[in-house]
Amino acid sequence: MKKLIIISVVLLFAACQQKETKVTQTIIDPNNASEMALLMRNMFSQLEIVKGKILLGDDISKEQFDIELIHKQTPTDESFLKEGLESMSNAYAYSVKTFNEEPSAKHFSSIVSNCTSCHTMLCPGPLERIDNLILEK
Amino acid sequence: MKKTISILSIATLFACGTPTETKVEVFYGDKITSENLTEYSNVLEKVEVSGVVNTKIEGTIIETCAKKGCWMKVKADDDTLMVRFKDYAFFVPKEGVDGKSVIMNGEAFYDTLSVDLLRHYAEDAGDSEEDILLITKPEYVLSFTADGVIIQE
Repeated sequence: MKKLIIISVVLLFAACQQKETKVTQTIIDPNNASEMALLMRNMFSQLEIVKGKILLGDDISKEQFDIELIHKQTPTDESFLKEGLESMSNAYAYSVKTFNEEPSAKHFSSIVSNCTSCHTMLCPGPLERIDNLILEK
Repeated sequence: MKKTISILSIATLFACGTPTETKVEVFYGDKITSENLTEYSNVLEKVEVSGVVNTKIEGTIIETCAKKGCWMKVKADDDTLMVRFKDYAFFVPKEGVDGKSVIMNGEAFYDTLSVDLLRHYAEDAGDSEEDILLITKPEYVLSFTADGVIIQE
């Protein structure tokens, strides 16, 4: 009987003693991304895929970018609608159109240059990410 | 038998009387561990010597970018670090994390922030136009590019 009690007590302590449990979760963006931000992330993904093909020497003659006009998207807030955004967005759309008409590494780089120019002027945060799209570093 | 029940009841009270403590760790970017942290003072010394140091440190969040959560200011000892996220690849909450403990893995280095960039950060932080225009000089600050961040809830 005594033995039974000791075993029971030990088991109880093992089962119920205070434990620190860890709950973990991994997050990339905890905030609600705007329509404009989501468009840019989508653009980046499309450009990243084509960059990979260019670097591998794959045929890119059939590649097409499907990208909406940036300035027509809802931004995070109105402060993102700065002077120059529309003209930069149109210049970007023109470079995309040029690529789609004649896909080439040169026209790809022209698109990336437009990304850099616009972000240098209007929102420098993503420049580091855009740098990853540059073909020659 | 009565004695047995009494002993078991007391043991249960001692063993289960306190609730289980749950520690929530939220990872942003790469999943890192909260172990092998480097003392901030050691990091500072190494940055002075080699310019850039790959390290994992702990601090307290002072402020995060109020617009997109794309940067944060972190207090480590008496210094304030400007923390950005590697390749703009992840973000932290825009609000609700000020004062929370944070662990960051990445590169510490000194950086000169241009007037344009400082004004942009001030705009992100929601500062008034008047305050933004008061920024007229670049700043030489200790910066940190994090590839992974843990915010402890």
